[in-house]
Amino acid sequence: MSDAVVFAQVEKRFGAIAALSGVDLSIRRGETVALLGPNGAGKSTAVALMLGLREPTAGTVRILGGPAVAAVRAGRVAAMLQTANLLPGVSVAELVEFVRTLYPHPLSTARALEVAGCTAFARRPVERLSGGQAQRARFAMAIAGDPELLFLDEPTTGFDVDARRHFWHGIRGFAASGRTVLFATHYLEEADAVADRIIVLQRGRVVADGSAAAIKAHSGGRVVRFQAAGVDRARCARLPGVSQVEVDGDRLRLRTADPDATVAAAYAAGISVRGLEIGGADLEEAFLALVNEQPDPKEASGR
Amino acid sequence: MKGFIAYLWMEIRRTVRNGRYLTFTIGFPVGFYLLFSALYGREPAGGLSFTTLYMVSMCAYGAMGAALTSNGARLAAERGGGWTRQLRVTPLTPAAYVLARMTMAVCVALPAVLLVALAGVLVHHVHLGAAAWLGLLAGIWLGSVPFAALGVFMGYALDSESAYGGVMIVYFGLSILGGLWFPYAIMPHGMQLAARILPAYHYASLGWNAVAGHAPGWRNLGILAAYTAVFAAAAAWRYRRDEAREYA
Repeated sequence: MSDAVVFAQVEKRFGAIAALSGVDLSIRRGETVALLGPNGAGKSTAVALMLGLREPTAGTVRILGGPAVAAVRAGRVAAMLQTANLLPGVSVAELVEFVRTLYPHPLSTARALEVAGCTAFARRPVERLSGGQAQRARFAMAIAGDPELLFLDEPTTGFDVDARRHFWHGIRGFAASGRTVLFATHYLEEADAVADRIIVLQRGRVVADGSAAAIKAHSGGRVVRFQAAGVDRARCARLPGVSQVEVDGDRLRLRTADPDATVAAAYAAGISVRGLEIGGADLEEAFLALVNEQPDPKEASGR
Repeated sequence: MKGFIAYLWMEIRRTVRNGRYLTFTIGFPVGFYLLFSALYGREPAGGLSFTTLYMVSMCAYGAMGAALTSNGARLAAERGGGWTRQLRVTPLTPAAYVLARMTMAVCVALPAVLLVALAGVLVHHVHLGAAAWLGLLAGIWLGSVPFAALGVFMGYALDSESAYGGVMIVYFGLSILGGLWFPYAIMPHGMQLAARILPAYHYASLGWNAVAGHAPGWRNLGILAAYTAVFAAAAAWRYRRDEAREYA
């Protein structure tokens, strides 16, 4: 069976600005994938290409084995977009009922409303919903057609903690039925907690692609912390495996690919190590490391 | 087709619930009819009573308003708010969407025609033969098609800020210059010329001819068909431009 999403050397330019350049990626069916990146990294552009809302400047985009527009027209794909107002003058239930009739094998209206947590306000006109309720109504619309592939573009923007938990509970339930889910986010904890796989975008390029654990390992992997008086930064940076050193008084924090070798070498070098701790880099550190590795083209061109 | 019908049905429901729709397309035409027929109702106007001719004028005025305003500003606002973008990621095709909107505009013109006619029958005891009624109701209802196309065009051509005012100016302008508020016969020469060039006079003439026992004028039908073609082409042009700008 063909992959859910395939990008081959995809480039998207808006005038002189390259929103995406040379993006290759493939998402298998059944995966839950986070598209992670800071604002302006190209997440929404990538989602727009996957939905056929835009055409790539170069390269090919294949969705469920064919063009994106064909997958959308066939009702195999649905999406929750970032900026899409609901239609005023109808109730949530009426809107969901309308959307589901467009799809070949939809969920029942009641089921879509229930999964999205809209049952309590199903009869309310959409113009009288709170921000969080409107977002849940958008979620109900997105799943009403029971699509094979679901796109969510920054879905929890404007949610409080409780609503966010409820939302991801609904998504997990949806994904558990074998559906492919791809969501764009800049919330690291969501990517870490929900996705099987994380694709990190930075300035229009894929800078990392793998499980949350693999991405954490990729960027220096582990963190070694200890206290030692009178040790300079340069000396620590020469220790094996170390990619980054932070000094705060006598506290040192080393990012390293090989913590055993780093610690052994530190002892061997006669550094008086106290209060040694070895831990995993968290995803945020990994993410920041990845994002900061990328040269800024604006600085490179001297602007 | 299933999507077209589902969207049409939802659009009709939300339009008839809309306060502005009720005011402009039912309240004003019926109100104007009752007011002006009370003021001038006793004056004979040619062979037919003023109350009959003005009933036709207000049927046309209401139906035209429904056809124009049910898209117009509302379509512009939905475009600006991203609803059309959301629809594009569903199986509903853009062509089905635009056609559903135009069909909706023609559908919601019907209650306006019927209610003014009902006011004529109940309040002023307007009495017409079956052929005259059929000609009047069918002509004024289906003759609203060019204005439905114009409403879609304006919904795509204007942004949500300017669309409401723009549509109202066009609506009142066409109504006055079409002889719907004041009879064509009392207009100055320049306005009569404008009336013969613009669509609303030819539109209402379908109804005026019907109540006078005449067949629909080919000239009126031809001019309305030409305006339909022009407005639909303009709507298609603005629609494609909007798509190209939004989704390049």
